[in-house]
Amino acid sequence: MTYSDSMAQLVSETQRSGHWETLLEQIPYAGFIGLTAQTLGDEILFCMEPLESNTGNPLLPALHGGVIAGFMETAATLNLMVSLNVDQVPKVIDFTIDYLRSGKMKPTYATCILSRQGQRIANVQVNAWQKDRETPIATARVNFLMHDK
Amino acid sequence: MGVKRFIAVLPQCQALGMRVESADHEHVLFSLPFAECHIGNSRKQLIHGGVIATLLDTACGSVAVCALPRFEMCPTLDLRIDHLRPAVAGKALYCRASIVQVTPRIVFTEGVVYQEKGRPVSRAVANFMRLGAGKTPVEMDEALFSPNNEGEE
Repeated sequence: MTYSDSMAQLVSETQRSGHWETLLEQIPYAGFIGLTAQTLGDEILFCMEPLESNTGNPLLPALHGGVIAGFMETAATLNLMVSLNVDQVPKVIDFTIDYLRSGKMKPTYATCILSRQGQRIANVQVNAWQKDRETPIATARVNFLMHDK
Repeated sequence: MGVKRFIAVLPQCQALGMRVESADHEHVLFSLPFAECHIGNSRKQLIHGGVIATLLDTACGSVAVCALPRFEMCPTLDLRIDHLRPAVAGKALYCRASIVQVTPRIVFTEGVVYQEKGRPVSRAVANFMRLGAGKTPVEMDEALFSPNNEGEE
């Protein structure tokens, strides 16, 4: 089986079953930051556990901004792959994040909106929150280069 | 300057294995030896963008603090990263961050990440808010800048 065949199978399996474990195993960094995902109807909810190792500022304490960025980039990539059922990991061209509030040491959630999907480029917006969706700790957007079919 | 001590108290930087190679008031150079937990794509053996984001945020944030006369908390306002080429597993990452402009409220910085000199993997701009020396815990300032601790470096 080729690389893209097996990846396509993994993505369709995740899409069909709503079980994310096997796909997440392909991303060691996701395990390192404590990322999990669940499919809730037509939405995918991403969660990051408040691991002690995710701390940036230990005095506040607060999550490291880079970890929040890594969490949101991973959410955008996985959301894009599973919602479009793509057979390869799309490349991130650029990533932009605005930090709105400090991230407390508690679970962080993220959801994505596929703003535009073209032949070559896809644009995904990501919202991350802790208390409630209307109080985001960060917003991000990602431009992806889609692989040729 | 207490940049090494600053990085040593940040758990995520320790978990990744980040090191300070050099630092002055306008530039810092950080390194990040490869570790398995940095991988974002196991099949293609590529480094995750989140690792690069954390390296850039830390290095740019550190150079922002280095540019100020006294330690101030400087949370990241925003960070924008261009991924120019893939970062491959098995090789260290380096990040050079520089001051663009210091104003009374904001510090503007830029950074570049590479694995081989002259071949940038990613570049970024990051802006930081200055919260003022008054909003910074005294212990933090003392821990980082007390001359009694200089010998540790």
